[in-house]
Amino acid sequence: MSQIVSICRAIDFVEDNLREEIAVADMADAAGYSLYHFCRTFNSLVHHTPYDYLMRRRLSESARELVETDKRIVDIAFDYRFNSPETYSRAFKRMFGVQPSQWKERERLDRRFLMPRLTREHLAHVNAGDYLRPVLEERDVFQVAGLMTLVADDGETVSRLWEVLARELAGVEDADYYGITWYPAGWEESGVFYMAGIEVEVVDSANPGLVVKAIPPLTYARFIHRGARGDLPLTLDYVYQTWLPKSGERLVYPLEIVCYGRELDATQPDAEWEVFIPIRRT
Amino acid sequence: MEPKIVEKDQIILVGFSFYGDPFAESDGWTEENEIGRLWRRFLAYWAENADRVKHLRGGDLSYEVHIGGYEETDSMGHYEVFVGMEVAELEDVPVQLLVKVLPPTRYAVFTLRGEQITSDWPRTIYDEWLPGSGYESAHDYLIELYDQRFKGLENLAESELDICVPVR
Repeated sequence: MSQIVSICRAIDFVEDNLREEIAVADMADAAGYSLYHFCRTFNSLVHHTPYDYLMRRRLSESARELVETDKRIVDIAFDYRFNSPETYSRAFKRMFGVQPSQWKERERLDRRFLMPRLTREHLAHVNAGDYLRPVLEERDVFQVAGLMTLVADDGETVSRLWEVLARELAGVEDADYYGITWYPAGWEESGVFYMAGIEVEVVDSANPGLVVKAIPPLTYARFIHRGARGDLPLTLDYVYQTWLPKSGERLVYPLEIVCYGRELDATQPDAEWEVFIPIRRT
Repeated sequence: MEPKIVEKDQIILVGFSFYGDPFAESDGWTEENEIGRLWRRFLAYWAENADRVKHLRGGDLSYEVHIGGYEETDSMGHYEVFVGMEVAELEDVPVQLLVKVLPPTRYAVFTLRGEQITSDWPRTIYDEWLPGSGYESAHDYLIELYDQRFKGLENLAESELDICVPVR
């Protein structure tokens, strides 16, 4: 635990100096470690090299400024200590897959792809076990029956949806519960599509008040989320920000599937849920 | 940790090298990192080819040298790791092997035991011992010397490892 505290001091130092000329050696000083021991410990707890984390934080903050301010790209590049607009563009494209100018034109942010400021909670969550190491899993088409709505708040709508669904499904047993999120373009403003449902074999056996969705055959990276429902964002930050770039895989749909298993009890602190991220069409 | 101070002549090593952040690819859940990979690559080569190397000296002593002082060492955490064996002179060195010549210098030699081996000993040495020692760092490298006293990371408690820090 004390290692996490030391590494968090380096992370705080990064946040305070995103626009300053800082080196990995300065991060090590902030943590109170030698450079060698710092690089080793940082990698083992954060799963990024210190330099990679620093660059991803700078690029993420710059991406926010591109959209939220009228600053010129060249000024943003120098603000975040890139030597030239070309260096900045190359690094930006490597992280986000598009040029800064293209990103600016979109006038939207998809915060799933921004590296968040990591917290003590992130590090504790990632290092609580190796269950975040994914398994690749091919799944055939499967059908989910339930309720779907547009969600633009922090979870109140989702909770209500589950309450309503529980009443609709009273009496149903032995079915897996699914929460399916679809991120439409511009979801930061519009909200996301969220479906709460159960897996069904036969469509016409479902209640006609429910919608049925067929999920196409896909290959997924399947992660285990362990922890409270409220900690799910910690798992998702890890999936999108650490695992995805390192894996060399890419999302084939803006789709995120959580399987809650047979019993939906969001109050259990040690729940184990499966999180599926589609990475290949099959 | 009190070191012995020893003078050493030039040391000629033959071996393999890595440059970068050796822990970049390890995801924290395995022991796998570039230093371990470098050793495995070197030892596999050595097992087959040691008899092709002339003028070997030092017996079972093997060297892991950490070399900093590159432009990217401080800014990005990148440095060189060289692993190898000592030779008395260079003759017909197989092309697969790199050569590293360490200058004649005085070394502060620290013996690490057990848990000290995985502790932050560079900080203990450079930030705690060095400033009050009357010495200063002489070169941007240090040597980890492995011999039969090192029983592997899985037997850390019974292991010893010497660290040689160039000083003047």
